[in-house]
Amino acid sequence: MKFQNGFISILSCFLLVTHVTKAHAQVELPQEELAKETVVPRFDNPTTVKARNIILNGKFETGVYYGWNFAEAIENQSKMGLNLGYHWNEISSVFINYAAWQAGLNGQYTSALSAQPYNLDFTRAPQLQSSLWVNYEWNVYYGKISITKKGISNLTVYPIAGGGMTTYSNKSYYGINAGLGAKFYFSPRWALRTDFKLQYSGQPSPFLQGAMKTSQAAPTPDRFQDTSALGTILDVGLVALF
Amino acid sequence: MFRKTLTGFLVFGLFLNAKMALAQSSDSGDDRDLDQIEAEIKKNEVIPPPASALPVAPAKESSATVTKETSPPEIKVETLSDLSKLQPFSEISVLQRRYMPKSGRVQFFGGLSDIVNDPWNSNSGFNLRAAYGLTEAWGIEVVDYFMSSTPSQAATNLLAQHNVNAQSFGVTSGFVGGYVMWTPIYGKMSFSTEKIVPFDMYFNFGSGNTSLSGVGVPSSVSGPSVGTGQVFAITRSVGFRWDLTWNMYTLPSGSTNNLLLTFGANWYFPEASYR
Repeated sequence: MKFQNGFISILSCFLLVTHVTKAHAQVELPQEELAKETVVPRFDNPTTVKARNIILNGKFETGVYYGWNFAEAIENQSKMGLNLGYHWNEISSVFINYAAWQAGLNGQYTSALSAQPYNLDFTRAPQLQSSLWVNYEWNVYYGKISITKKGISNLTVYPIAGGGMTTYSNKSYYGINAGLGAKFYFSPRWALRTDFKLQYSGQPSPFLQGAMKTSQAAPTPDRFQDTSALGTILDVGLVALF
Repeated sequence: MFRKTLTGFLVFGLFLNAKMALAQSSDSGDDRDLDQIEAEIKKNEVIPPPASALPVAPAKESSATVTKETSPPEIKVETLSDLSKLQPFSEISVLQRRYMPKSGRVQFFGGLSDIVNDPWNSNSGFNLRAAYGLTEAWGIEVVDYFMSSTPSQAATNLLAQHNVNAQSFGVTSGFVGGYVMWTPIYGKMSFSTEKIVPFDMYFNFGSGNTSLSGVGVPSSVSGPSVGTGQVFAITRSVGFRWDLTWNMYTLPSGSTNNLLLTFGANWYFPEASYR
């Protein structure tokens, strides 16, 4: 009898314990104790770019572009030009930038100034003709973009700095420029290029008292005073690597 | 009798419990998962063709074939940095998740602006913006520009040489507008292969009201406005942003426009949910 009572007691306790254990077999941790962020290992020498789609090292690059000098008040703001450059490694490159400025004046303002009561004829001022710049480009940013989640394109962003000359009908002037550019690559060879630069350059001042009105005698080019001006340049074009 | 019956039930319960305890890791859902995993393995398994279908390789090529089929050298993983050698990456980090989500978050922006296409004035000032991300690609934004101007060298010379006040062309003192914001481009950029910076590129479409000052120009004029820019993520809630906005309007003298370049910082609220 005692044995049976003890046996029943032990059996009951065993059943009770296993039921409790079974009930807690599937442990659910509270949400706040779970890891909240994925963690990546920190490498001793991290390398973010394992393989490039766009190889620049040792390649020539050429392209054509259309550009503007938005800060030009009198002369035509538009130009067409071409770029020719060489990448001596993935980071550094040098470019020659030639631009042929469009003939004519900035009609947005000179039209009103040539009309009554001003009667100013700025075709008498030395005409802007062309410019030639040599720029260093630092291809330090390389990445890729997802376009509407349907395509991936590579891009590079690069600071630009350099110097050059701007030619007017009477003489040429030195200048410096600096800015930022970006290239969006359609393929390993072709890219859309956009450059935004600030350009500080000499130029002849188109304002000459007593010589610019249509009723006055036309001045000689040497009468126009040399000055300097800051321009804001935007170039948009197509380039190819080869 | 009762005790015998109770004992019988308890023993039966013991056996039943034991069976369930041993099967603790198995339920119908897990069986389904295992079946699915096995099915996936079989689906991707490459079954070699029967030996009779294989061409007999000549003796000369056998050594080359054996050479080609040798397994790649084993890479020893001794430190954490050796993990980077295991998988041959063919691309930089793939664009799987957005680092700085925008859906349901409010954006505040503050920055410095300059009008880059006004030859008669040096125009600079502040730009404040507030936006709300409806989805990752679409949002709405309101902007306000506060501009201050000084005459440029060209305006000074025009007044000195020809007694013409360039203020008659109009001077922009401010702009208030609203936009639909479209962010179709998400990207990641590496800085000299040392750090990856995620960014968004957006386009704004809208209109606004330009405040003007000057001789013979209206005090304010409305017109369409478009813009583009990028936001580079610094943290999940702060980013560096540049913006180029083009405002178009018409004056009595004709159509004109302002091109505003802005640099500043974006703040996002509330905090992004963790992944």
